[in-house]
Amino acid sequence: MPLISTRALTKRYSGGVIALDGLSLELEADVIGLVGANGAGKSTLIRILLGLLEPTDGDASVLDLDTATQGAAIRELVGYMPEHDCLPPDVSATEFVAHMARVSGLPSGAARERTADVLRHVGLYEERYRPIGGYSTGMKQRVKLAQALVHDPRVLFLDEPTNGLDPAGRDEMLALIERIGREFGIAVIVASHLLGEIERVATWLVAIDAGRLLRTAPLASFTERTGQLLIETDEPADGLAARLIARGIDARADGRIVVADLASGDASEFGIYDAVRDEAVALGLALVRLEHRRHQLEDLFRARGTDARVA
Amino acid sequence: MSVLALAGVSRWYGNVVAVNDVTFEVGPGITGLLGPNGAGKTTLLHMMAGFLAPSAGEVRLDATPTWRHPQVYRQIGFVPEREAVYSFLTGRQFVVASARLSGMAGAVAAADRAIDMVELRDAADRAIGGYSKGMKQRAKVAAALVHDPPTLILDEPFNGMDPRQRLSMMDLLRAMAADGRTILFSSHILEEVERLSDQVLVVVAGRLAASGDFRRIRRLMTDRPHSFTLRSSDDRRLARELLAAPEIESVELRDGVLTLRTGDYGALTRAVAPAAQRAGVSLLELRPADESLESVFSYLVRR
Amino acid sequence: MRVLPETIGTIYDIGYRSYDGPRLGRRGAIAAIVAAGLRAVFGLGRSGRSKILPWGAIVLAVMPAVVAVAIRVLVGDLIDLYSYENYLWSIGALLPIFVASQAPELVVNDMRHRVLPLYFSRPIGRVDYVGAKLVALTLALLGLTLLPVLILFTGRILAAEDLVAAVGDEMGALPGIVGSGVLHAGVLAALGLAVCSLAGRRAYAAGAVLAVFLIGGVVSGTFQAQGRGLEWIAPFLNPLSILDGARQWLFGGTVAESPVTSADLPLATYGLAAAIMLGVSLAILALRYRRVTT
Repeated sequence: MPLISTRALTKRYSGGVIALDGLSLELEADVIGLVGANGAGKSTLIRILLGLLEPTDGDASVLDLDTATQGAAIRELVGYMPEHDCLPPDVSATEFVAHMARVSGLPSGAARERTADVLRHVGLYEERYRPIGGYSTGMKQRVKLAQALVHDPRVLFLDEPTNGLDPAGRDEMLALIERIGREFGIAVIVASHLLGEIERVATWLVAIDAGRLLRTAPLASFTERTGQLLIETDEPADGLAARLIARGIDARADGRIVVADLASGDASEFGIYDAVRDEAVALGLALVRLEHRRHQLEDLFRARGTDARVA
Repeated sequence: MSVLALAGVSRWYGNVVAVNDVTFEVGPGITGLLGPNGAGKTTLLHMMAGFLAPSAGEVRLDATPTWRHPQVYRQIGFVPEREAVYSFLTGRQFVVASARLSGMAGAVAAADRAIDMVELRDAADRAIGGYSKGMKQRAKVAAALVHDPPTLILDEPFNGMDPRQRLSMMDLLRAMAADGRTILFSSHILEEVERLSDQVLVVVAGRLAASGDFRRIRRLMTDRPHSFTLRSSDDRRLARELLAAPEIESVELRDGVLTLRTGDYGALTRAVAPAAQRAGVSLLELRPADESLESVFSYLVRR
Repeated sequence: MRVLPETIGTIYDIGYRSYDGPRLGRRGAIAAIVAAGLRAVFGLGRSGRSKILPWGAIVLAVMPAVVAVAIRVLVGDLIDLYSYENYLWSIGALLPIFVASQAPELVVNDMRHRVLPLYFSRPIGRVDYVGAKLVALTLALLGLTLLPVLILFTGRILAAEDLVAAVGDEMGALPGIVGSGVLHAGVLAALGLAVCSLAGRRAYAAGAVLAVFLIGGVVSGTFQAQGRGLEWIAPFLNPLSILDGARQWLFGGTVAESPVTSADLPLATYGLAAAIMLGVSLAILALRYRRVTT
């Protein structure tokens, strides 16, 4: 049973804005990255999937429940972490999350216990008894995540979960998301405009552009090797490139970087790597980097024709 | 060629010191101003654009102080972070108004050019109130560009933009920098700064913590060992050979990856290939593990 | 031989647990919001300061009834401080103060801090949410509109010499007491929540509610005092007098000081006016909460 499926999903707002245009998707349980949708498309999609908005055309289902007719049943099984600030300042995290648990239908005792557990999992300790108004952005994001998790949903919708977090906080939030997907057995959909983050946590990718589906595929397929080897040194690398070319390897230099075609030169398994090593030694070069060039998510969004920058 | 120069600049509000004794110069090319929220980036940018007076020190564009010298505004385009647009105006009207305000002739033609540059032509005649966040940003950039200033200052310009819009904006800024303009933008998202800037300025709690090429900055962080990851055809053999070198502080072998730590960046990068050759091992992958801006930044923030 | 726990080492699994227990659906959700609403109104789980006004109002509302009962016990029914009908009018000032101070607690925060999407991403609808808030505030207001009068009622029965006869005497008034209490509480709750839902901050909401009642009350008093044929306007400017008129229409019993008496209009008009007040309040709430986005 697919986790989420949509068929020709379309939403037109009065005023002519087309937020979604014939979107057809089938998603299995995973950590799914949702990128590229502009503001209108992303929030429209989430609202439709939560059963809060009717599409103009087409249909959608979550966990085999139709969004148009079974919205309340979907919302029992789903957790949502909005992008914007959404926490009242004068209650404590414990009180708020427990209340939200009860509104999700948990009996009082279970609500309290799960709240305590979930706050621990998201990393809130003594601060949970203080009013939310005094929390840092990082702590507030954790509370938002906790209220989405507390009722043990089957699917989590996280909208820009690292919004406003500093690098350390972002790291922690991403690690938490990875953990949720991997250990907790909950399917996660992360909407983010930061491609680097998506590359880090997601296993599947959905890319939407102007309301239409651009691609949906495993993340690995987007960051495949390009069949090129990238060599970076500490000084201009023309000399290295020349010597590699002399060995029959297809190479070109760009400042301190050399890009070599793995299919060229010596056909033996490590031939080209050894060639690079030996020439570096011969020239007394410092080797800073040696790796396969990979595609990046960014390439997906580049206007037609521009080639990817050297990474 | 425009150079923004700050000398001993501070700005305080009562006891709150937003900017604390900052000195640097920003020249042509793209410079990223990086810092956590509340570090003083917006205050700095406002002083550089001439909208705020320094409490101490001098902010100059070329030789002229930016404060109380309105002619400086013609040389600078400023894109503020806040939503400083009138929602009832169309994009075009807003840009034309900006052009007229700077007293230039041919305002409408200039506005057209600016609108094309930010790729807003399709929506230019709709009211700004109906724009998405990314489109509003682009309208503000067009308004800042319309009088063709040699210096452009942008406060969190990529806020709310989706990947395609961000890439377009980055391309636009690169093109303008290639034209010889001085471009300074602020961000708290490292990914953006890393992709775009030639130089970075890192501010933490109002102080300038570091400036320059972040890779060079990393090499200067000598009290912190550098980390490299390696893959080879025979990791243990290579590890034994490398451990013999005095510049290697530690070698860790885990999950098919060799992690090296060294205090001497240069010596290590020169030692790896010869060591592999001596040991008869093929070198398959080598990467600096902590050279990212993120790593540099987290170090600077804690000093 | 029992192996002591200390001789074996165990690591307990405190990882994430899934939940297989009962889920109470809409009912549980509504009950939770009502319960949380009542707690918020009476300042439970908050600082002491937030308890002063609501509990103080209850005490002030109940105190006269207690005193009246005490006097009855001591002196008999020679002196009757209050009738069931004019009790509400006498403590009337407390009602707008209570609503102005506590209705914002229920409504403004959720709207101002955009908490509503978190509610609506759960299995409740907008009607459920608003309905639950209304129920909570109505229940709280019953502490002012019903509780004291019930105390008066019980006191009269218990103070009488012949309990059984007293029950027979007073019982007839009970439907009126309860009906009037619920009528006042319900309409005022709707009105209060509607006004608050339009305000951006708690302070503005409180001010707006006070304005609706006090200005109306003052102007109404002026009209009433003026005489000269303008008395008929007076009752319609003050929500409390409209309610008094509706009460009189439904359950009988005049109140001398109320502008309803001096206006001398058919009582059904007050019933209509009260229904309009209620209808408009509910409409405002419906519109306000329709526009919430996730």
